[in-house]
Amino acid sequence: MSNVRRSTLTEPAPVRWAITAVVLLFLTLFLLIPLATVFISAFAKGIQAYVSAVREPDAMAALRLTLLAAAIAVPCNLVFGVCAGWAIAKFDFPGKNLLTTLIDLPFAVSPVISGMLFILLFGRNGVFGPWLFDHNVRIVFAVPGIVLATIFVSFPFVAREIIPMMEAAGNDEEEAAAVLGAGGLQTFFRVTLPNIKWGLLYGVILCNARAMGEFGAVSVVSGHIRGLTNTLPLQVEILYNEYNFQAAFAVASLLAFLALITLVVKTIAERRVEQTVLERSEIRLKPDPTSV
Amino acid sequence: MRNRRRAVLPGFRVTMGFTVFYLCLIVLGPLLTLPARAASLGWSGFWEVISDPRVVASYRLTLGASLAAACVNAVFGFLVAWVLVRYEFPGRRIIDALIDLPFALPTAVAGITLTALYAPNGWLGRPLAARGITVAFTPLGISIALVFIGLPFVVRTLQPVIEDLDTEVEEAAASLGAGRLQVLVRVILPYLYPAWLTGFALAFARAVGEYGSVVFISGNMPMRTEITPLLIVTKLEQYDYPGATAVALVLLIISFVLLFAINALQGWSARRLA
Amino acid sequence: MAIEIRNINRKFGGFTALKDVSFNVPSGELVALLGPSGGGKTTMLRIIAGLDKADSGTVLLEGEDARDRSARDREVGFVFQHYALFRHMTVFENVAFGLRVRPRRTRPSPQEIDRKVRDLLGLVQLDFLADRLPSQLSGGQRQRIALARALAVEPKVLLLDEPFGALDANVRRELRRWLRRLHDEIHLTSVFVTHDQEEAIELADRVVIINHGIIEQDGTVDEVVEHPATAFVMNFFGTVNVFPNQGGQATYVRPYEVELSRTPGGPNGSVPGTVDDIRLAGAVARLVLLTAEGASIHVEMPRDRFGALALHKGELLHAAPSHLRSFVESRQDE
Repeated sequence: MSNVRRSTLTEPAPVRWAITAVVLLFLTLFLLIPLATVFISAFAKGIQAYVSAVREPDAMAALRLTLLAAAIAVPCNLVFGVCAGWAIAKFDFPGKNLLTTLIDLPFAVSPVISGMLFILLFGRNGVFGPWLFDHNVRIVFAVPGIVLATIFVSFPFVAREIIPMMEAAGNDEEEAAAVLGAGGLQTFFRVTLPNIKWGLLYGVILCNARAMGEFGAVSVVSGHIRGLTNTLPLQVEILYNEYNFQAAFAVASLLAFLALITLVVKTIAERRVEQTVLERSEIRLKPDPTSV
Repeated sequence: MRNRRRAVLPGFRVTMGFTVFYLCLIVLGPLLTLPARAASLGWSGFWEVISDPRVVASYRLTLGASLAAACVNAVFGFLVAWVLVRYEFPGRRIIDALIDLPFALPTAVAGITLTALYAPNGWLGRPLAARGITVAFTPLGISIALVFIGLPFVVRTLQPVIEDLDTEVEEAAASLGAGRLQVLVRVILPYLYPAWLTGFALAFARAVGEYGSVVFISGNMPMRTEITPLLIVTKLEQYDYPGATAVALVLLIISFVLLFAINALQGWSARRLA
Repeated sequence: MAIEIRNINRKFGGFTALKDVSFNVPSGELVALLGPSGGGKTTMLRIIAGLDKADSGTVLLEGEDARDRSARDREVGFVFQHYALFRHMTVFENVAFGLRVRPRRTRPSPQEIDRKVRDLLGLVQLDFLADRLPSQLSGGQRQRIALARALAVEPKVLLLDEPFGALDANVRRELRRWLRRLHDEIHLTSVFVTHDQEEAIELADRVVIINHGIIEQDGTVDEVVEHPATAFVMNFFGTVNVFPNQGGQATYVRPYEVELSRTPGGPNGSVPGTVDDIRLAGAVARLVLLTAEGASIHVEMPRDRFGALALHKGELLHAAPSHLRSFVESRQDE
């Protein structure tokens, strides 16, 4: 859209080149070099070393735990996101703004504090601590705590994407379906879902990236017990602190791959979301450069 | 305008109920334990903890480094957004997609990578050390890590606004005799201020709470390079729960104030562009 | 300042916006660039302003090639279709803008600027709106402010791009008359773009008709209406009847150049047809006749003549054209 720059008005060429050079230098320094470093360091000792570092039992266990936490957190937050989206976008009620602000809260909380909250709740001296201890249930310093912390930090992503999309779509189609006799779930799956599917994908992929990559919150809540309560990011930390740099970067490269895939899917989903929004809204006719 | 729309659509009770339940369980409940716990200290105990020199040093460091990083991101983020929207060059699309890398990359990975790069024997650290500049294990390193973390925020909040600029207004200004710089300052920037400020606030808020990408490069020396989140973790490991909650509460209050400010800025931005 | 356009060509990718366009704008005149949407008119206007660059050809401003002068230096005032007012500035600040951005040497003092702005706001009769924001103005008011803003820098030429296109019909008509009066007062060389032939007829001294990037005709209002150069031009200014001539060539006749009678014959022959529709509109009567081949003939006659003939629907009549024109369909085909 902004590629059709029909205007002769822009900064003089030398200024443009200078600014572009500065920008590219900045981005190379802060984005490209770090990204390259991950992979270069991971393969610094060759492919064999890379593979064995990745397949090491503790690393594999960390991978499994990471996947488990994400496999629980993402669907839970997906269901929540959809429910919240439906309630907020399709209905009017007092306190709507408060609700949306509450949903945004985890963004404002430092990951360390997020993890700490669960310790305060379920730790030995926590609110539920004595009760849990009596019933021999371990939450913090064990897998359930990690899952809970993961749910907390990745919580808002799906909702934040869906709510604006559903609000922009309006109620017309759903009301038409209701009048035609469709029930709630039917309406949702047949009418609402197709309209928000790209926003849903976008939210899910971000939620997943955060869930699998979370470090601070999980670090506080986990017991750092190798092979049991370490996620991939925690494993990276352990390896690094042992000066086993190549292995640390090897494991880190898995996460970096995940990040790149996230970026690709995100870009695609974003474009589709834009398309959908454009198709729905009234486009104010700006003077077309090729007409008149 | 609180019209109670007659619910034509089904499912309000169910979805609203689940939403509130989930929120209370996952967000509100846990959050409320924080002030509850801190209250157990009493005012004087609370004050004692947070006025401890080590704690104060950590606040100063965290806020200072975050502010510095947010400022750097404000300046460069503006340039990046401008270049990505207005200029053409090979690889622009890919670079545009990569802007979100700090957002998608796990903080621990960023942390070890930046440390490896800027350590005295690192690829970037070595030439800098030759000039007498140490990055790793200094506040400078912390700021650099925070610049990385906050990079997408200013860019992504500015991009859509720059894209939506009305080029006719720029042309009008030029036809009235304004030079390019005058057009930029008098006509374009006033539209961009709200979004720019919002991006700055977002980058700042994110930096204040950051842990994973900073904890490796900082060296964590108390009074010198110990950021507040790390201090909290240290207190937790020592089972000083009341102390940890006190320190955390202050950080949380700062974060919420920022969140509030950001929401207000976003509202202002939306009204400006209406 | 007089403007000369010589052989301007402009392409956007594969699309030709302007092809070998040449015309003159005499100093002090109000010229309309008229034509259908997408025809190239706005592109031409923007090239004159320096907001766009032609691929080849010259624009002469007061005899000098304007090629190296940027939009900033051409001393043209440009009024945009959607006003392009600075939304974050008040009306006063908008109008004062051009004066405030002048380099220090030529910048008037703040008191001077104040006086000039208030004079201009008075000229467009909107001085009471000086402290409002553009969002608080109606469409017609915004356009007048945009005009005042353009005039503030005392341009040598005024360029208007469909200035009334975004306004209601009533406001449009009112502003049209107002603009004409203004022009008669200040005699500033002006070029405006429109696709509305009524607007061109009412406002302009001369009309340049542009269709698909080429000039169909260039002349005074009277010339293009009464003596069109091509069928396109003729069609543009009103209904046209197409009569096949004996020679097989098409001829073009205006509805008011057709005589109806109950007997065949006439200086140019006649065509029979039955009355299909009669519309009485004030002082004229408009009829549509259907020929045996199913073609329509539009006829216009004064009301009293209609009354005298006592015509009614279904009657068989003979349509005799009094004035025949034949020319090419459009300059495109040449």
